[in-house]
Order: sequence, then structure tokens, then C-alpha cells
Amino acid sequence: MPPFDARAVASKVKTSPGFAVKPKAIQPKNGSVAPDPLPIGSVWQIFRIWLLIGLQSFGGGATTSLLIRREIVNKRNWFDQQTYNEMWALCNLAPGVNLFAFAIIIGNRLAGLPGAFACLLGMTLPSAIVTTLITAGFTSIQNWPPLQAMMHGIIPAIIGISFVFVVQFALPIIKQSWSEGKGSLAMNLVWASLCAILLGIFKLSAVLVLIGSAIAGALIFPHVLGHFQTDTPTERTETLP
Amino acid sequence: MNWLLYFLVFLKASLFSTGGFGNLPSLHQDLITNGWAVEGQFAQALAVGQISPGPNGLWTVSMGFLTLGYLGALLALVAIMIPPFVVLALDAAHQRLQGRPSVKGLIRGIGLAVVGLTLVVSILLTSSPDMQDWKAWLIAGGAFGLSVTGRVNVFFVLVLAALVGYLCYGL
Repeated sequence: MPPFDARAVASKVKTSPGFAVKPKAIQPKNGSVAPDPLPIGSVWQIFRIWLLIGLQSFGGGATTSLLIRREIVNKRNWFDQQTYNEMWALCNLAPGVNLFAFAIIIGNRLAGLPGAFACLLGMTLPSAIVTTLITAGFTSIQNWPPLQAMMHGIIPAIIGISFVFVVQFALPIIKQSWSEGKGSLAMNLVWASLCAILLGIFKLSAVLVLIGSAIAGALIFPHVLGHFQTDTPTERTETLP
Repeated sequence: MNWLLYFLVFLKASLFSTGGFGNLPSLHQDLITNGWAVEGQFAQALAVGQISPGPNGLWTVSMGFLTLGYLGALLALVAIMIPPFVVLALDAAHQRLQGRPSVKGLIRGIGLAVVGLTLVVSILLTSSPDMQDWKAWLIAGGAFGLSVTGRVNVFFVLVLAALVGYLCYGL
């Protein structure tokens, strides 16, 4: 199945901003049960959709991406599942917050750069304001003893949860390198430990460690593991039915 | 405090990292070294980032507020909104470079560094004064256990931790 070309959709919309366009390219070729995509509205409408996503997304990134999937795949059918996964994979490579990149890439494919800003600002502004207000409220009552007692419980919990981030970052790589063989798994574990030692014990700059590891990865991995079995998540998702 | 430098510290941290917490190691290093933040503020900002709506990456905005008030929050927000635009270049390059071994190696290198760096920061956070006794370590372990399954809402874990904290230290 040829990859869906969302840029064709985006360029169509660019030529007629503010008008509803019914993108043909999104319709599945094999005549499956997927309904026709709803028309892509104006940039303002896109902004309002993402404003609602931002306001509803309590509980962090998983909630947000679930809301986005429901809105743009299930409800409006602007993108198919495969394209959604492909875009998400690209966002994992982008610097900064993955969900911001996700909003930008979706907005850009829907309505060009104005669309990208509409999605990003719509999703981010309400949440950022709430975040600031919670922080402000917190700092003004932080000397209240019951709150201090609660924080003595919350902060250790956050520290425990920060180790969950480590697991979440590590798990996909561990699975991948496991599929490449035990040697690869060992090498990947040593590699990550080395990065940790360079930062934690030798006090190297975090950015330096990241860039160094990226360059070393580009140079070393193709030679050591010329036989990556499964490729990037992007390609893996394309093999799905 | 030099606002431009402050902004650039946040921008750099976000530009050379990926994920909502990827900027944590770099920010931790720079803000502490410059004397702009203390250890406890990181745990506070991370807590607010978990409680508030939106991507967890907004913890950075909370960190900005804690260190430089509303201006800090604004500077931090702008700083974290710029780097993700690189995704548009990635999207364009994706078709051509997809599948090249060196690109895969590069991505793997970044991923492994992120694992190592996040681990170090997590270990550093355990030196927080809030890890004062065995009860705090028990709470941390419990929160890890509940969250790592991915089935329990993080917000619920934090509410539970607040309750346990109140019962342990507030009565």
C-alpha cells in the first residue's frame, strides 16, 4: 500500500485557507470501512479543537495523545492509523516535548505553518497558564503545615516516578536490542551506563554527552550491527496490516 | 540575573534533548551551577508538571516560575516551544534518509544517552532533603511500583502519596 501523502492535502489547504476542503488522498484505497474524513476547517477551527484537547488533558502525555488520536483519527478521520503512528515516530526524534512536535507536524500537514501554530498554541496555552497558576498557588501556601506534610509524601513519590521515566526510555531500546541478540543488548546497556558515568561521575555537560553519543552512535552502530532486524518504529508500523 | 542567558539555558536544554523530561539533566546542571535554583525546586516543579493538565514537559514552565516568577514562566514556555519545530525538517528529510544505517545509529545513540542521563538525575533527586527516612523511601518505591505498570493514573498516585504524607508527617 503506497504511503498516504498528507503533503498533498496540506498544499491543497494552503491554497485555500479558511475554506473547507475534503481531502481525497485520505480515503483508504482498499475500500475499507473507514468513513469519509470530515472537512478540514479554518485555522481558527483547528485552534479551537486543540484548545479543547489542551484543557481536557489532565494526567499527562498519555491522556493528551489519546485525546488527539480520538479527535483526528477516530472522530474526524483526517489521518489513518498508519500515518498517525508514522508522525508519532518522527516526533520522538524531534528535540523537546514530543507532544509539541506532534501538534506542529499535524497542524502543518492540515494547514501549513499557520496550522502548526494553531495546534501548538491551542494545546499549550491553557495548560501553561494553569501550570503557572498552580505553581503560584503552591508557592503562596507552601508554609501551611498540612501542605508541607503532603509534600513530604508527594516529593518522594515524584522521585519514585522519575525512575519510571528511566524505564520508559529504556524499555523500547532494550526490546529492540534484545531482538538483535545478546551481544547487542550487552553493548547497549554498557553504552547507556557509560553515558550515566560520564555525566554523574566525570560531570561532563549533559548536552555534550547527548551529542557525543549521537555521533558515536551514527559511526559505530552501522558497523557493529549491520543487521538491524527491525528498523525504526516508522518502518515497523508500516508492516502492520 | 541575565534574562537572555537564562532563556538560552532553557532553550539549549530543550534543543539538545527529547521528551518532556529530556531537558532535566541539562537544566539541573546549569540552574544549580549558576545558583538560580536549588535541588528542592526541581522536585516541586516536576510535581506540578504531573498534576497540571497538558504535556508533562510543562514542568519546565513551573521551573521558570519558581526561579524567575511570571517572566521566568513565559521565557521557559517560549524556550520549550521553539525546538519541536525541528520536526518539520525531519518530516521533509524523512522520505530520503529513512532506513539509512547511520541515521538509525544516531537515533540509537541519542536514546541510550537519554536513558543514562535520566538515570543519573533520578539518582541525584534521591539526595533531596525530602528523602528523610525509611517512610519516604517506601513512598518512592510504592509510587514507582504503581506507576511502572502504566495502568494506574499518575494523578491518582500523587493524591495517594499526599494522603500518606499527611498521615505520616502531618498528624
